Amino acid sequence: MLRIASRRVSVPVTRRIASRIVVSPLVVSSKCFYSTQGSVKAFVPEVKPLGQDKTVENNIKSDANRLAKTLTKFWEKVDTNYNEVTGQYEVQLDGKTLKTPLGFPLALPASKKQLAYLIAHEWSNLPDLKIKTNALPLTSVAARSIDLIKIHTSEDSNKSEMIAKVGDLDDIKINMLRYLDTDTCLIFTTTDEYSGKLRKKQDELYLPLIAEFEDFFTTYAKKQGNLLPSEDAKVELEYLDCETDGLRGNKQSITTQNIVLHWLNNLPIYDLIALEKAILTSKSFLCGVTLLRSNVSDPKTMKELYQLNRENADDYYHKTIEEIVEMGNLETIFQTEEWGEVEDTHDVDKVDWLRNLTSAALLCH
Amino acid sequence: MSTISKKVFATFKTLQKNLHKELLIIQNRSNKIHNAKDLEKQQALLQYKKVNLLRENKDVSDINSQIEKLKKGDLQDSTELHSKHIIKHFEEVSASAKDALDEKYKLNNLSNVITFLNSQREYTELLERYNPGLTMKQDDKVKRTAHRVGLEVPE
Repeated sequence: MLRIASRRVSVPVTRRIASRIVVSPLVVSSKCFYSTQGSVKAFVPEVKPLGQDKTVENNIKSDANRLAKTLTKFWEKVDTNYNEVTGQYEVQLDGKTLKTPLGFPLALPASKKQLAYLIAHEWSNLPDLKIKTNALPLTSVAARSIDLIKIHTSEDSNKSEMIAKVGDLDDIKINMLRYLDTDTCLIFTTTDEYSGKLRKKQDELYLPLIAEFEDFFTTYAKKQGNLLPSEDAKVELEYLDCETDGLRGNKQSITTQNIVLHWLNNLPIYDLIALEKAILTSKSFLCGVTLLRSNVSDPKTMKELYQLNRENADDYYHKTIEEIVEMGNLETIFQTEEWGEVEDTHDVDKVDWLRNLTSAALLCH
Repeated sequence: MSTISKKVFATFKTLQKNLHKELLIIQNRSNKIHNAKDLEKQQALLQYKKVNLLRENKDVSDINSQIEKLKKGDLQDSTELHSKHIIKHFEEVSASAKDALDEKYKLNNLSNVITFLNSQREYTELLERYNPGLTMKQDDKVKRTAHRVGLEVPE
């Protein structure tokens, strides 16, 4: 009798455990597939075929390589030449066009004449002959865009090899999307920090920004048709309030992520790389998109992509670079006000922010 | 509200002036670096000539003044801008502004250009200041490394 009774008792217990085991992996796997695909990818090392050259360093006969290896300035003249056949501006050293890391000519469309001039200026005023990537920020972002455009449009047989070197567009987008989860502008501090001043400033800066972008992506979703589950549904950005939420992760809903990804798919590649640069600098997706929205002044793309929730041209959304720095770097600004600037850290950081964000702005202009 | 029409920018004139100033600073800075090697060579050549003249007991005042001039020469900054086409480009751009809004975007862009040039230059200056080893010549590095452990590199 006793045995039977104990059996009877034990049966529901095992069943409960079993059901838990069955259900939980389903939940985890579906989550993985949708919302955390990007983040999971980042932690699991990808298996790549052996023997493939994945380094950016290469032996292509480009001028940058020649300079890096010989350390002597071998050119006399830097020019920007308008190529009438292709209708593009080429940056040339002594009449020979510069090459990107993948070996394509460094040529920019006619609308980016200013960028071509500034890249030429960068080369004619190198601060040091030991070439470092930080010495040529405009060249590096422009070359990255050109490489990605060429890969994107080419049907070359060694396309996969080239993708391995500079990255795939879809991966770039997914990686950028991850920054929307942990966006600087979506995390609010506790009310007791800096006697409430920081939180007050955050509310003042971030709440209108969040409202603006919720409106922006909602309008976008409506214009694109049924991206939202129902008629009156709105895009809502999840944010983390450390006062009530404590320490937990922040994650955007699948609908939001899909809408934002849909929007990203429409961006021209130059803008996409500018966005990437801005996001990597500011660690904030919203700051990056704000930069794009404030600096692209081509009327057509403005209307379709960047100012789509604004009817009147006078109401076009705009923030200056300084305002974007303030939003993204707010906490450091408060820290240096309270404790003072640390040499070799804050001063370098400050100009680094400015040069990175402005180089992104100049790339998408 | 953060709208473009409510933004206030400096005028084209001041921005152009700032751009000119910044371009000139960058030009002088890089000229100094690029010419340093040339100057060294020229000075060595003049010194060699001077020694030769001294051996022949001839007048060296001419060579001396040349050397002095060379030494002074690298301190003088030029006021003539080489990359005038950039200034000209922005003059054309500013003249082509269609309306007030377009002009604002153009002003915004121009101030970005200046901020970029300025912060890029400051960034490299700060890096060099805090990491003196970055711009040091290989010979100097070897010399200093040897000195640190109590050795001297033979002349």
